[in-house]
Amino acid sequence: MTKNYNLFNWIPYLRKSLMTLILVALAVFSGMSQTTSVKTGKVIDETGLPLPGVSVKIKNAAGGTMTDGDGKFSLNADDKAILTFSYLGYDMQEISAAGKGPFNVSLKPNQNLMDEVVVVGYVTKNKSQIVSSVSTVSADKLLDVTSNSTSAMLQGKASGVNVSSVSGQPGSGTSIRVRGTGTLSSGSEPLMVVDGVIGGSANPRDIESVTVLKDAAATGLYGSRAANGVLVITTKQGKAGKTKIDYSGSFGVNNASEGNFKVMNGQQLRDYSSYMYTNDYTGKRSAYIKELQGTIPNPTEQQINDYLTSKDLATTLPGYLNGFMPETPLNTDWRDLAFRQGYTNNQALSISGGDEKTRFYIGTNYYDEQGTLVNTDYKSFNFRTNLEHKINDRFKVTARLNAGFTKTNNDPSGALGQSYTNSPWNNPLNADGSPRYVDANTPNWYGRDKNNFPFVSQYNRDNSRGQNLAADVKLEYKITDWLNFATSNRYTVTNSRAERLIDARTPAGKTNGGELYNAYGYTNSFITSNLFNAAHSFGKHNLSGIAGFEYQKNYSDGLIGTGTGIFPELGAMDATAVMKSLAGARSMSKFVSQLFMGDYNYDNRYFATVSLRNDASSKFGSNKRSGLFYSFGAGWNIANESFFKSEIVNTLKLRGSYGVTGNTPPGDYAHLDLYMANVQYGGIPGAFPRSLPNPNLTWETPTTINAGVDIGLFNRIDLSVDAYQRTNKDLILDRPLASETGFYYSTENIGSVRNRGVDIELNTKNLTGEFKWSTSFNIGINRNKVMILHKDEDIDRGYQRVSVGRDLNSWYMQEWAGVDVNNGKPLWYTTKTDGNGAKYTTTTSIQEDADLRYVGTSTPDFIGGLGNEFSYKNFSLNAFINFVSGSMVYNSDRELFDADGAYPQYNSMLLKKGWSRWEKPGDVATHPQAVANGNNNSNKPSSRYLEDGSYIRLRNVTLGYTLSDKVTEKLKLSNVRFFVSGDNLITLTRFSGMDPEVPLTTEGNNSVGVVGTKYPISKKVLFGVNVSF
Amino acid sequence: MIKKYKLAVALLLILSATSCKDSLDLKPYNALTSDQVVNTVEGLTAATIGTYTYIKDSYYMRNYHMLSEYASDNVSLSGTTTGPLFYAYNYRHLDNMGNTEQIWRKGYQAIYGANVVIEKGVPGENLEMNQLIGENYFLRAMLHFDLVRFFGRPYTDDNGESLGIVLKTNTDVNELNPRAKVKDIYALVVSDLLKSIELMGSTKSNIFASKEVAMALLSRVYLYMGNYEGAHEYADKVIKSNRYALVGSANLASYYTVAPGGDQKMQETIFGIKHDAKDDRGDNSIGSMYFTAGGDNSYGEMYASQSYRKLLDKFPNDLRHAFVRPNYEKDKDGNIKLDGNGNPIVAKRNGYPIYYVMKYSYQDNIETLSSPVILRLAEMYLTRAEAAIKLGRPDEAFADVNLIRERAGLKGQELFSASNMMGYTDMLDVVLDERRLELSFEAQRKFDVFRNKRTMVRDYPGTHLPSGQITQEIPYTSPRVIYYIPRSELTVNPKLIQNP
Repeated sequence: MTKNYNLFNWIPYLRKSLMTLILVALAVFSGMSQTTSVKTGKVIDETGLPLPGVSVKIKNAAGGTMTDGDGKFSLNADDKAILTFSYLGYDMQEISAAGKGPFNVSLKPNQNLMDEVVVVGYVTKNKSQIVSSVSTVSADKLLDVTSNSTSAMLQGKASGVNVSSVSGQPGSGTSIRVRGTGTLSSGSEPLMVVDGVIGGSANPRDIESVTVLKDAAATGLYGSRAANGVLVITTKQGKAGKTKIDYSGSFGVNNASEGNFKVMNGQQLRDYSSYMYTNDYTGKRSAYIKELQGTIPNPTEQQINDYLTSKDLATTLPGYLNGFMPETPLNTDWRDLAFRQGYTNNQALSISGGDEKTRFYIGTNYYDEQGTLVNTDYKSFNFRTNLEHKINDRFKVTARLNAGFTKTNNDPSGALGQSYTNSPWNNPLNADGSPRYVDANTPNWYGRDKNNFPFVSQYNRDNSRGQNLAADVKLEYKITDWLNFATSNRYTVTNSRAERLIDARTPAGKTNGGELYNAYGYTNSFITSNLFNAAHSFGKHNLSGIAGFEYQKNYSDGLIGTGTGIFPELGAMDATAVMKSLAGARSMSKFVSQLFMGDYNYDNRYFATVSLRNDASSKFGSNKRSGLFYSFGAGWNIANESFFKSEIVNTLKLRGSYGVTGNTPPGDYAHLDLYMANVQYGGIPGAFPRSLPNPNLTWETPTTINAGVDIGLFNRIDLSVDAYQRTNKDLILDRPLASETGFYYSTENIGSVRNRGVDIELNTKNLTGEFKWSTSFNIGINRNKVMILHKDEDIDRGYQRVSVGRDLNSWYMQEWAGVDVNNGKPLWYTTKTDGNGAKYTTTTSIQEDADLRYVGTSTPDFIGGLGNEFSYKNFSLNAFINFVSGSMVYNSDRELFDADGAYPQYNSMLLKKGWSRWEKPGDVATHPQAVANGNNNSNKPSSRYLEDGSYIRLRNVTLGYTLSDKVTEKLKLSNVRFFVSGDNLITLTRFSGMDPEVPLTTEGNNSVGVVGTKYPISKKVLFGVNVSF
Repeated sequence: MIKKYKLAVALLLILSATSCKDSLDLKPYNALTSDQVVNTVEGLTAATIGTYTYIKDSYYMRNYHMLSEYASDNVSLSGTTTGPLFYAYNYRHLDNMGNTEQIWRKGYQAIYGANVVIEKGVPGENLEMNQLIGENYFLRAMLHFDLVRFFGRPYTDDNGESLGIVLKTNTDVNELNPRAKVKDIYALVVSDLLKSIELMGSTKSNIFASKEVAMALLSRVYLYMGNYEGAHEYADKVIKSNRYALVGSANLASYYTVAPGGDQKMQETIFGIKHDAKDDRGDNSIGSMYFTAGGDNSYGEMYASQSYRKLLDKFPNDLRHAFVRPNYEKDKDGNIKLDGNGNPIVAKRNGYPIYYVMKYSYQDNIETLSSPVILRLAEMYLTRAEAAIKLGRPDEAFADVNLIRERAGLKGQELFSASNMMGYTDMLDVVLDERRLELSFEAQRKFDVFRNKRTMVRDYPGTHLPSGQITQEIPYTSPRVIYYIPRSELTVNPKLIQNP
C-alpha cells in the first residue's frame, strides 16, 4: 500500500495541529513544567511481524516519529501524553505514555474494504467517498497471465471492460472497449493516464494498480478525450524503511492453439478433389461428344479422341484427373512446418525503499517471448525509476523515468497463410533435404499459389525495433495548510524503425533483384499539468477541490524508403541500386485545457462532486475550437448513518452521476479543405482535392447517466451494481455524398449511438479459516442502439450496415437457407411478389436474387470474468476464467476453405461434427454438393459463415507454494514463492474457426466481428519463482 | 509574502493559458488549401496534374482495363479468384463489385478536378492557360466517355436513348442528379472535345492532352456513336497531321517497353498514361495478371485465349506473336521439353496452357511496370478503314488494313485485296478481325463486338465456363453487356435508376 499525500486525510490532523499550537503556547506562557522522557517500543502487525513506517505521534501535541525497519521507535513524551499509532490499512491505536515502557503495540488490519484507497486520476480518494463508477485491479490480480501487455492482462478483470487481442503474436496489441462501442470513426480506445498525467506507459511489473474510470463523474475531468473511459495506472513507489529487493523470474513453453479449425490431409483432399473433377470431366466429355454428333452422327472412338484432343480435353478420366492431382498423394503437414513450440522468459528485478524524506523505486524487466509461428519473436527491456523527495515541509519533488526498448521479428515468408492453403501433396524439400525453390514456373507443384515458405524463410527479413522514453518531473508546493500547488510535466519521445528485406534469391526478389524497405518513425509529446489542490473542513462539512490548466503538444514525423537491386546478405539502403520510392509524413496537434473539480462531503455520509473542463484543440474546426465538459455526482453512505445499525450489512452506499465528456477526431487536420500534394505525373508534382472543409467539425459528446449501489455483507461479501446509459451524440461520420459530385463523403458531426447496460462486480471471501477461498466475479451486460444518422440514411460498412434503431454492428448480408435436397445447390432467402401483389418469402439458388437482410450482431450479450483463489497453509491456487457470450462472428476463412469447390487448388477444411455434404438427390445436408470451380457462388458472403462466437476460456491457472518463515529466515530472505502457471489452456466454444476472439477495431469502413486467419494465441505453461530479500 | 507569491503564480498561469489559444491553428505539412490552388496558374497546373494522377491511379486505370478487356474473347482466366475481376470476366455481375464502385468514384473525383479548372481558369489570357483549360475539357470528355460505356448501353443500340451516367459539369457538391441519356453524355463528350481542340496546341508531349490527342479520341467517339463521317474525318486529320508515325516492324516487339513522353518526335503513341518506377504497382498492376517471371510480384493467371491464338496463328510469321508468349515446360537443366512430334510442350496452370500476354510488362526493365496506351496511330488507320466500309467505300479499307499488316511483317499473298479475300466474304469482318488482332488487350474488343451488334463467343477453355460447359455466348442485347450501378451509389442518390 502506498502512503498517500491526499490533503483530505490530513484534515483531522490540521485541525488538531491548530489546537496543538494553542495548547503549546498556553503551556509555554503558563510556564508549567512537564515530565518528559524517552519512550521506546516496537510495533508489530497481526501476524507478529515488525511493521516499519508506522507513524507514532503524541495525541494533541506536536512531536512524532516513525518506526524503523525493525518496527522500533523512540520518542520524547510526557507521562500524561497519549501515544497514537497509525498506518494506512490498519486500525489506529492509542496507548498511554505513562511509565517506562517498552511500549509495544500490535496493529490490526482494517477490515473495512471501504477504506481502500483508489487513485482516480488527478486525485486519490477513499473508496467510501467515491460517487462515480470505477473498477480497480491490483497488481497481484493483474499479474496472473504472463504477458508484456497491461491491456492483455486486464481481460475479464473489470466489469464492462472488453479486451480483445488482434493476434497472438508476441508483442502485438490489443483493443479495449469500456461499456460498449459508442463511435464509428473516432477512437474507441480508453484514455491512458499514468501517474496522474495523461499519456505515458508502464511495464506491467512496475504497476501498483489499475483503475478503470467508467462513468462521466469519474472521467469528466478528462474532458474531450474521456469518451471511452480512462485507464488510470499508478506505478510503484518505495516505502520508508528497509530497502526491499524483489526478484521474479519465470520460464515456460508456448504452443499455438488451433481452435476447431482443421484442414484435410493428402488422402482426404484427393478424395474430395477427385469427386469434383470426375463430375466435371463427365459433363465436359458428354457435351463435346454431343457437339461432335452434330456433324458425325456415330463417331468412332478414334474420332471422339481426336475431337477431344482438338478441344484440349483429356481422352480418359485418369488422364484428366492427372492434370489436377497426383495418383498417390503425399501428406505434408504444413501446419507442423509453420508452427513450433516457443518459449517465454520473463525476468524482473526491483529495488525500493527510502526514509521519511526520500523514497525510491527502481524496476527492471526483461521479457523474451519466442512466438509459436516460425521466425517470430519479441524481446523487450524496460527500466523505470521513481524518486520522491521532501525537500522541506513545503516542497516535495518527484521524478520518474521510464525507458523501454523492444525488438520484434515478424515472419517474412507468409508461413501463416500457407500453413493452411498449401496443398499436402507438395514436398517442400529437395532430395538433399534443403528447402525447395518454388515459383510460378515450377512444374509439379500443386496449388493455386506456388509458394513454399521454408525456402523464402531462409533469406527474407522483417523486423522492427522501438524505443520509448518518458521523463516526469513533479513539483509540489504547500502554500498553506489547506492549499497546495503541483506542477506535473512529462516529456515523451518514441523512435521506431521497421525493416523488410525481400532477398534477391527468393521468387519475389528475382523480379527486381531484391528489395529493401526501411521506415523510421519519431514522435514526441510534451504535457504540463498545473493544479491547485485545496481541502478544508468546517465542523462536519468537508470540502476539497482542484483547479488548474493543462497544455499538451504532440508531434510526429516519419520517413519510408524502398530501394531495389540489392546483393544477397546485404541490408543497408546504400547497397540498393534503384531508389524505388520515398515517402514521409509529418503532423502536429495541440491541446489547451482548464479544469476544476470540487468535492463536498458531510460527515462522511453525504457526498457530492462536480467537475468542469474546458478543452481547446487544434483538431477541431475553427468555429468550434473549444468545448466545456462537465459532470455531477452524488452519493449517500447509508452504512454511516446513525440510524443504520446492522450486523450483517457493513457497507451500503448509493451513488449517481451525470455528465458530458468528449471524443476527439482521429486525424489532425480533418476539418480543413485540402489538396493533398503527395502525387506526381510525368515527374511533375501535383495536388488533388482530398476533403471538403468543415469549420464546424468538433468533438463527439457522450452523455452518461450512472446509478450504482455498493453493498457489503458480513464483511465478506462485496457487491457493486451499476446501471448506466451513455448516449454518444454528434458522432463524426463520413456522411456519404453522391460520388458524382466528386467527393464521396463529407466529414461531419451527425449521428448518435446509445449504450445501456449493467455492470456487476462481486467479491466474496467464502472461507477464511486455514483453508481460504475467495471469489471475484464480474459481468457486463451492454445493449447498443443507433439513434440518429444523417437523414436516417443507412451506412454500409463491409458486411454490416449501420441503421437507426439497430445495434451499431449489425450484420447485413444474404441469408443462408441451406441446401436444396433435390439438387445439392445452395439456397438463400428471397422475397417475391405473387400474382396479387403480396410479398412472400421463399428460397432461391441464384445468389444475385437473394435479399440482403439483418442477420444478427457481433456485439456480445454479456462479457465477464470469474476468478477463484484458494490457499491452504503454504499452497495457493488461482484460476481465472473469462467469457463472452452472444456475439455473432463472421468466419471469413470459410469463404476460402469451406467453399464447396470454388477454390479447388487450395486445401479445404474438414467438416465439423454435425456437418454433412450433399451427394445425391434426397440427401439432407448442411453443405452443398462439391463442384469444381464452385457451386453457384455458394461461398459468397452470407449468413452461412456467421457463427456464434461465444466462448469460455480458462485464461490462467496458477499453483503456488510459499516457503515457510523458518526456511526463509534461515536463507536470510524475506519471502520465497514457487509457482507453476498455465495461460489459455482450455477454450470452450462452438466456433469453427481458429479463435472466437475478434478484433474490436475497424479499419475504415470494415465490419467489426470478422475473423479470418490470425496468428493463434498461445497456450503457455510456465515455472517461476518470486524472491524477496 | 505568501499571498504575493500566489498571485504571481496565478497570473503567470492565466497568462500562459490564454496566450496558447492562437497557436491552435495548425496547417498540415503535405497539403495545400483550395484557396492556394484555384487562384494561381501554378495552382491550377498542380490541380490538373492531380486529375491526371486520378486517372493513373489503379482504381481507375486498372479497373478500366479489367472491366473492358476481361469481358472480351481475347482472354482466358486459368483459375477462380476472390477479386471482383472474376465477375467482370465471367459476366456474373454483382451490384456491389469493388471494381465498379472504385471506377465510379475515381472517375467522378477526376471529373470534379477537371471542373474546378474549367470553372476557375479564364480562357484567352495566354497560350499556357488555354492549353491548361483545353486539357481539362479533354479529360472531362474522356472520363464521361469511359464511364458511360461501362454503365450505359452502347450508343448504336438505340441511338443513345437508354440511360447513361450522371452528367457533371459543375463543382456543386450537394446536387443530386438523375442519370442522363447516353446520347446526352455523348453530346457533352463531343462538345468538350471540339472545345479542347480549339484551345490546345500541338506541342505538349504524348503523356498529356493536346490538339491531335483530342482529335484521335473524337474519331473513336464518333465511331462508337455510328457517326462514320465524323470518325473518318478526324482519323484522317490525325493521320495527315504528320505528328505521329507507326513504329517500325523491327521495333514492334519492344514497343510497349518504351515509356511514352519525352521530346522524341514521330512516336506511334498519341496518348499514354505515364507510369514511373515510383508508380510500379507490383502485383496490383495490369501486367501482373498477364505475365509472371515467377516471382511473388506478379500472378500470371490471365492468358491469350485459344480463339485469339487461332486468329494470330493464321500466319506464324505475324510479328504480333511477340506479344503472346507461351510458357514452355523445362527439364531440370532448363532445356525446353519436346513432345513426340518434336514440338515444345506448353506448361499448364490448373490444366490451362500458359500463353502470357506481354503488352504490360518490362517498361524500363521493371517486370510489372507499364504505361497503358490509350490512343495510338494504328487505331486511326483501322478506324478510317471501318468508317470507309460503313460509308459504302470498302475499297478504301484495303490500303489501311494492309499498312497495319505490313508493319506486322506480312507481305505478298498475306495481304488483302479484292482478289485475295482469304475466305472472308464481308470486308467489315476483315477490318474487325484486323482490329482485334492489332488492338488486342488494349481495352477495345468488348466495345467493338457489341457496338457492331454481334455476339461475344467464348468457346474456349477458361474459368468463365461453368463445370461441364464448353462455350459462353453473350448477345449484344444481353443486359450484362453493361455493369450494375454500384449499390452504394443508389443508397445515397435515390434519383439513380438501376440497370436491369
